[in-house]
Amino acid sequence: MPQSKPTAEFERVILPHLNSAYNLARWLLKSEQDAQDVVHDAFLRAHRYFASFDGTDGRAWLLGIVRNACFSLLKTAKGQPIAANEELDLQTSPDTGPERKLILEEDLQALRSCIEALPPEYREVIVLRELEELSYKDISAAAALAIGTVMSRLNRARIRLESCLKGKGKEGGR
Amino acid sequence: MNCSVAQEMLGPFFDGELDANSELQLRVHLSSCDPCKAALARLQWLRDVLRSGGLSYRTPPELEPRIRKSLRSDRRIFSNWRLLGAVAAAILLSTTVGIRFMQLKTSDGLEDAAISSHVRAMITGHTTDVVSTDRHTVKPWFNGRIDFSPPVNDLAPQGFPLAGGRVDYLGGRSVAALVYQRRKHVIDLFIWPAKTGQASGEEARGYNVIRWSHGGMYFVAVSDLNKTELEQFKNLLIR
Repeated sequence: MPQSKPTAEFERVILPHLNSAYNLARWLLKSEQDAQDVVHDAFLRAHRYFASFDGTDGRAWLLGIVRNACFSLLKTAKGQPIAANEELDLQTSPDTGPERKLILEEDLQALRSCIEALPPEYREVIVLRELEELSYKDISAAAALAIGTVMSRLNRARIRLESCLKGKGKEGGR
Repeated sequence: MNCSVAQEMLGPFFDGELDANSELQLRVHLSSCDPCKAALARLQWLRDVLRSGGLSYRTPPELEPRIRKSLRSDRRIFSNWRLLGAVAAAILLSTTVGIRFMQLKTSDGLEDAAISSHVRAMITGHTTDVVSTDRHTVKPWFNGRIDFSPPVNDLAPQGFPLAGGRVDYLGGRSVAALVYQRRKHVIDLFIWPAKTGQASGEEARGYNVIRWSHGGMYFVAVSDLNKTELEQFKNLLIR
């Protein structure tokens, strides 16, 4: 099997986006183990189909595979509805990640649980835009969404985050 | 510009995604609208917190070596079988990332590639470039589009009406794809010149694939039609 050259190329072009892939999967699946498994398998599949990569944007290509795998898992394994729920869902799961900054500590905690409370479709665009800093065009490519849909999801996601934060007594824009 | 329009545009403006004209209009509005200014400041605050570094998950250090190791041995080992289907479906659905051609190592990969072409055509609704039930329309359509002339049969009397054709890409070359119907089922028949080739019938991913060579051409038929009827279809073609 002529693997060595494609593998070296794959490691050069795709593997550097591991952190982005893991961050997205971890946010979408809310589980470290699931995120690791999905990312691992997504990399293997991406490697296998590397010939189909058009060479333009490795990160968007990889993130597209990762996010589709995450949504498939959310849909199949967990039986979780993936359609965005229009009701504001204030249920949050307590999270005890290691924190560092003093001033932002509370804000971070509040924001983290507000993001986790978002429906996965909204969480996805927030993670891709704000944490991974993808352009609308790249989000549209990765998530297979029209630019207009990216825009409106992002708007709604931000509105939800703001009202969730307000509910926690965190007013932005001070 | 009123506030409700402006609010819609604030996000794209903040993201630097607004066209120049809209941006100018919004700036004019912002200069005299305190609620919108405040909303913009909230977006900035949100971003500051989001990007302060505390919200991105760190990749567990053991993951990268694990992936590298798997890439090198590249066996089809999946850490978790329950994920295999999910990831496979994900790949299939990644139409925007330009999946063109898939290959599995278990065989020469032709079945899988043929199924992928078939599924892709069905998903995108792009099954035919020439729509005709008349073989005298379909056959000449391939002239100049591919470097051979595929045999086109009319099997409507036998219950397999021709629906049309397209040029597809399979096994590293351009091929003719003829589209036949059987009740509500669609059959893709891929054809290209080859003196000999493996003959087989397989089922994969819920599709039946039959391949054979005949008269200097190689044929691959793919459909969700049952195997018996697909065999019947093949037998009509080699008669």
